[in-house]
Amino acid sequence: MKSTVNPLKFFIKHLIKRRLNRWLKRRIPAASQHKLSNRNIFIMPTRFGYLYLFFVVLLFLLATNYQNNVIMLLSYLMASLFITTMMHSFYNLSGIVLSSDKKIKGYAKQNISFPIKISARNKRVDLNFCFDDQQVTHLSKSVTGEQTIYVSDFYDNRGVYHPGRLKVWSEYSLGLFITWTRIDFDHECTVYPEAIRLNNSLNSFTGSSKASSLLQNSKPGTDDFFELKTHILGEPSSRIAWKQFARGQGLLTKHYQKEEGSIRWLKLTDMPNHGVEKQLQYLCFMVNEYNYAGQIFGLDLGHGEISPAQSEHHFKQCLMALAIYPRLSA
Amino acid sequence: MTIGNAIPKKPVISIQSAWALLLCQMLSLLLLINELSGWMLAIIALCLCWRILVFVKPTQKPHRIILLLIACSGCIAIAITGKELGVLLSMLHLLCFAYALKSLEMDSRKDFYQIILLGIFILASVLIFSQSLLISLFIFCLLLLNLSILLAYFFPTKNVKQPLTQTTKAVLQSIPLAIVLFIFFPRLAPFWQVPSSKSAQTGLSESVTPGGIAKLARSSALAFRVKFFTEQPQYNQLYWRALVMDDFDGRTWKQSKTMPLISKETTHNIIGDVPPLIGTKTHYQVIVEPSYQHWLYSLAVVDAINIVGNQISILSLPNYTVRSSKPISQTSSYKINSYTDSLLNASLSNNERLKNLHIPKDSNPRLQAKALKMKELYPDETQRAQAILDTIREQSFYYTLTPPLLSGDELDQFFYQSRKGFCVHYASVFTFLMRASGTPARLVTGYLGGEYNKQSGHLSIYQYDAHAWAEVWVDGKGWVRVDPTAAVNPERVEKGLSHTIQQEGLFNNDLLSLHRYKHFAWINSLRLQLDALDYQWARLVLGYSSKKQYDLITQWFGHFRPWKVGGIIGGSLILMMMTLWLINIRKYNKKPIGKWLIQYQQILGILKTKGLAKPLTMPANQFSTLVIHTFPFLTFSFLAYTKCFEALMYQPLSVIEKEQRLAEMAQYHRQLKKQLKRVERKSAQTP
Repeated sequence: MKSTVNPLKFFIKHLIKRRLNRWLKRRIPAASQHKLSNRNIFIMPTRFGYLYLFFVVLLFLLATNYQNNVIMLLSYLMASLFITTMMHSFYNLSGIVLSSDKKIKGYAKQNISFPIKISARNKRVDLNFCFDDQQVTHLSKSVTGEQTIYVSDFYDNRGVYHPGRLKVWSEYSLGLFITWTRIDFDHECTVYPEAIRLNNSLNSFTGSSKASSLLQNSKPGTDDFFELKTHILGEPSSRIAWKQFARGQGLLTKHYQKEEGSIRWLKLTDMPNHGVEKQLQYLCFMVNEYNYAGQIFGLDLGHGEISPAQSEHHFKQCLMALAIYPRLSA
Repeated sequence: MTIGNAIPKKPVISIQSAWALLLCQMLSLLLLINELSGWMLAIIALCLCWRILVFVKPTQKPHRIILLLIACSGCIAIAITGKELGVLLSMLHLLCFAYALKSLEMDSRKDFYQIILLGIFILASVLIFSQSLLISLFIFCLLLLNLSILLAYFFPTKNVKQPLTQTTKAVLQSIPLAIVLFIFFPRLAPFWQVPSSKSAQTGLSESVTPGGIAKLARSSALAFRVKFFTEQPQYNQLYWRALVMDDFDGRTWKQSKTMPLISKETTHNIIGDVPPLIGTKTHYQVIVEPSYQHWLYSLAVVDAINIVGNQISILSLPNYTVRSSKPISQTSSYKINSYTDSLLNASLSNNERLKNLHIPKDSNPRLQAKALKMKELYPDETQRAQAILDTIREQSFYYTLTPPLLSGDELDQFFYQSRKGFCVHYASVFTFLMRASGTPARLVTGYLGGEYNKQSGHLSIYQYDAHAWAEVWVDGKGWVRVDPTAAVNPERVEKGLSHTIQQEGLFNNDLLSLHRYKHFAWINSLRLQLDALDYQWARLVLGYSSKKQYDLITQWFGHFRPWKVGGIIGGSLILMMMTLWLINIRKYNKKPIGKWLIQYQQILGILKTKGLAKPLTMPANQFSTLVIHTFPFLTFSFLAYTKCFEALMYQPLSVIEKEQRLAEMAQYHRQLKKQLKRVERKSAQTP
């Protein structure tokens, strides 16, 4: 990376981009479905296209200097083909209907797939999709009829993002032109914290004064300690009998009676104190874990809580709360 | 940016495309095989072979350093030989070298693009050397191949056939505009001097040595074509003058160096010296093939003022020949008027007279003695000339294209010993005798006759039509043409040489030439048809010039105005875009008709002939019950058939499911057809 960035240049670039975006907003307003047409398709020669044109001029010069009619015919044919190709490039994109859901969810530090439904009545080739500076999805097969493709996006941190406009482009038919469009589905991408497994090592807890409060926090009386079993990978780490582990008895998991009906509270403050983000990531892991195990749980983030439940909706609600923390609702 | 970059070792193009590209490269370079030197061909062959090796064993890819080494050494070799190759051929060598070498180094999309553009440039450069219809068509096909390889890069199929049809479509759609541009786009004069090709000169040679061998007579290459706009002179009068040779050194005839050139302008000045042209005017156009020589062909006497050269400027010489100011390096044409009845009687200066009487003193003593004797016998030059011709006719001279080689006093040897020879021998002997007997005489070379093509009404003159004859100065008449060959072989003069060559089996230069197979009637007519087509190509396309363009525009659109040209080009551009738009709309609105629908309709058709028509509004499954009711033995197959049809028609199916259903349906389709045929037979047998 260059360390010195000309601030003026940066500023101008930024300004142009803003103007462009404003213009795009008017030209191609956000919608859940876009039909590509001359209203929203842009077309420009590629570098190869310009090279080709230069080459056609070269041929014309050659033909003129040699007064050679056949070479002249060749150069005219190639010039004419340039225009034909332009039309073909345009029609390759024109008429495609693209639609997508508005709300997309995913985890930080993972590729988040945005399903995009493409429908075209006749055959389309060489379609590429991407969000700004993100990984490109290239359709290696031709499209006829309806098809759903997944365009990925990537975020480092949790939160709610607007990935912005989806760029769809194609260099069909001869690579002379790039036809593209930047359509806005008004995507809203909720990025949950990256799920980080609570460390199995003791060290992670020794620093915390509430090392075992995870267990104590559970409402007393709802379930009774029943037995210790050998730890199976994937079991919630909260149930690991750390005391026994410290004594060198190996990893054991505490099992409780009437476990199914029990209620757990996941508290932000209970997480090992590695900073709020880290705590949220641990919580995200726990939420996933509990949901997977069918555990009834509630989530307490300090400034508001989600009452215990066990359902897909509840699960999503909890993840959402983690994503938008410290806000309360989206 | 692309996924291709993420997987580093993925080849840029598919293996099929790569093979097609190699084929394309080979064919393109093959077209230049005559222009490239041997060592360059060897390097190119090496590069292409290496490319094939890489196909077989991808690990054998040459190292960058080796490639660099080859590139450097190739460039050095071209630089060294540059002087003898000339600028144009050096550039061509460099281009071909780069083209062959580039195929070994195709690591990115950029390289691929470069190789395609280089390929098209090579195709264009082939056209510098030849512009015949056949070559042009071949170039067009190679262009299509090049473009479809380019298209295949963006096309999701692996085979080359589908991109090829797509490209052909696109190119065909581009042709109308290209033609409009060709006709109407302003034609400019050359911007700067370009190196012309220094190809081997073809056709007649600057000098003639009777002792040499007849090389010309064997070539069936086209020399030039002529279209007469007025009545065509008789065949035996078609003496196409090219060179006048008045300098004889005892062995070789050649043009004298000190020849004053007469251009159009100077002709005006000396017009008093030129005798008036009389007789009927013969107006004709000559389309010459590249000979890389200066001289052109005409019938005497040419009207020096009214020569219209197309893309060439033409000078008329006092020896009644015409000449181009530049070597003819591509097909060119000129229109010319000749007065064949006129006399070639521009005054003969003393200097000229002496030159045309000159013979080396001690050469061919026997002929010189004979000449003196004849001068005594026939003081009149016309009678003397006739006497010499009679001698040739009466004595046992033999016309052959493979005469023995001569040495020493060659003409003596020919006249008194071998007596076997062709036009040059007879013309030389005759001229020598006339000069020795005190009459100015000279040798003229050119072509005689030509092949008339009925389809387009033009005359094609081939290299084997080359001829040599003599001219003697007769006071009061000027230069009089005498063809001694006519005395020994009248057929040559009346019908042409080609069948003589046929008899002697001398078309040895190219096996592929259709001239070899003239005796097969259909091949000959095919050859003439191709010739007619090629003539039209030369006339309409190669002969198109700014003057013709101007004439055409004024003829079609009235006064020439730049905005008219702009309007025509702009209008056709819009027309083309609209056509493409309409094509696209049609394509877009056309519902893809499934194979199943066609099959189903077919079965419905058969059922209709059996008296069971399906009402339009009736759904398919309802109809199936009707069919079962009428033809109970169809129950199983027709029910299954209908089920397949409905699934294909109305259910969203995945590709695999679709294929399965289609196969199933096709099977039932065959079965139903067979069963329905039986119905016919049964019903036919029952009564």
